[in-house]
Amino acid sequence: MMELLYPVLFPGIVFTAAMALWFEYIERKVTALVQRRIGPQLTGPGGLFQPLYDFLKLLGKEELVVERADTIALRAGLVLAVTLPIYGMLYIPVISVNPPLSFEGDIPLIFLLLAFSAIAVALIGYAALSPYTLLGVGRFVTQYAMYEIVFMLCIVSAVLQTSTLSVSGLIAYQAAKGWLVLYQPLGFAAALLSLLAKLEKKPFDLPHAKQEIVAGWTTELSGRNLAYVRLYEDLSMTWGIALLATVYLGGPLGIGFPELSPLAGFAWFGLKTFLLSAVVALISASMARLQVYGLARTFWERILPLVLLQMSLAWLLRWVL
Amino acid sequence: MSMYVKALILGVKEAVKGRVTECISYALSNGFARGVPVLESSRCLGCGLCSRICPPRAIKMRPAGKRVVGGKEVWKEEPSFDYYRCIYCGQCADVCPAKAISMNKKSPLDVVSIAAPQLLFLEIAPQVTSFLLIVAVAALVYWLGGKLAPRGMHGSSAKEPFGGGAPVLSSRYRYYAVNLMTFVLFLLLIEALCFLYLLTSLNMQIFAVLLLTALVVYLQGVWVIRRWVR
Repeated sequence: MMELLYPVLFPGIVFTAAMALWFEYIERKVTALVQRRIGPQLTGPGGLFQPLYDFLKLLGKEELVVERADTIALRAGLVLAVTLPIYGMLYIPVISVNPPLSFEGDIPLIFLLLAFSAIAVALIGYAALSPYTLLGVGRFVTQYAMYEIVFMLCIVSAVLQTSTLSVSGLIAYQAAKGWLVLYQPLGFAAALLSLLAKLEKKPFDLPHAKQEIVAGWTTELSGRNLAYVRLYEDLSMTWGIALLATVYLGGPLGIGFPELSPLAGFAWFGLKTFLLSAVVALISASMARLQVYGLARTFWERILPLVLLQMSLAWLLRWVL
Repeated sequence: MSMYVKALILGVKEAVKGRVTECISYALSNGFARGVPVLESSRCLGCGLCSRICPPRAIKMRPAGKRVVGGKEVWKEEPSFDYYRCIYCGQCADVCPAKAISMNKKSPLDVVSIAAPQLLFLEIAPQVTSFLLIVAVAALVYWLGGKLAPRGMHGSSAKEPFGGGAPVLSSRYRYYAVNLMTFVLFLLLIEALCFLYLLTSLNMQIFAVLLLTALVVYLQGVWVIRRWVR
């Protein structure tokens, strides 16, 4: 029975979906604040249920699949895209030090999930053929090649310093010696930037650049397909932010966590992810879009050498500390 | 005709000759049957001798809990029996230094109940089952959404892709779609290889190799940017 509880209820579908909709609400509110608007207000207290209403509304609308579209690839890509971040949340410690499915070597599995979610997006984009989706997927893949290596090397430097390959090992190290962001601020900043690129937020929203290529790889989607893509974006934001909070900010660690009660850990985790999502929303609301070659210059010529430096430093820290 | 008669006579002769096999209850009582290997988990040392000796390789060592060796906590591995492959020879019980494996001599019904969890449901890791469960729920919600949504009558123009002035009859070869897809698959392969390499062990040589690879990839990327962008 507990085996059903993990994936369906607690860190699984229900919890992750609720958190994803909460993050979308935060993002919309922060964006509205930056643009001097009010934001969602009518549904629920302060418009809290607006993301849920939007999802349900889109789910209940008629879908129009483009002629000559590869329907199997489209549906498989959508279901896979929604599944992967929820599955990834099962490896994140939310109220305990040990995540429910943790095993020695789950960090490479997390990398693999990140890679497969990129494949799912590419499938969705290529399933419906039109000039704009093709351009969008091309840009997405280019962007993936840019940010993925930076994000991976950031987590690899965390792994190098802690000399463990499991999320619970990372948490144990941070419980003993303090948060990793204190040792690796460069890596944290680079990981945050590449997370923005992964989530297609404002400075790096090239794959669905609104004024340039209509809606990029989501151009031809409608109804439940669009609902799932929007849910995927929120879920992947949840997972990415939870991952950053776990690797660099100690996840549920904080005053009174293992001693007092698991709820304290939950509160700390909620606070950290809330602050991170507010920062992500603030950055994305106040930035302008990069040009395509600006992306390559930012990631390959500026951030990647810094991350390599951070990696070498982390390797030294492993022996010093 | 005589052939059939001969065959019949042979059949009758064989039928009255006696049996080659024994009744299971008799075999259990006279010690001919070796029994089914069953593990007593608390006595197991996790040495893995049983999985080495097993002739059909039916024993896999699986991590199960931790144990203390010399004041240090290490993972303990326990044998798990694949009763499909087992030939019930009993060599694992003979070789076990702690006598943790015993050959359980029981009737076939009891044997089935011992092996039933594996014979009925294939033993799947919780990592796999929870992934499949999430896929199932996501697909179910998607399917329900499609069933509940209304369907209208549309002309043929409703299903045309949005071209925005450009010709919509683009093939997959335009916009370098195939090249990009090949690139992604190549990248995925490299990533998977790196993770496998990392999983095996983590030492200085591997770190040097990774750093060197990252440097080469970085220089390659800079070269590509210089060549194509400026």
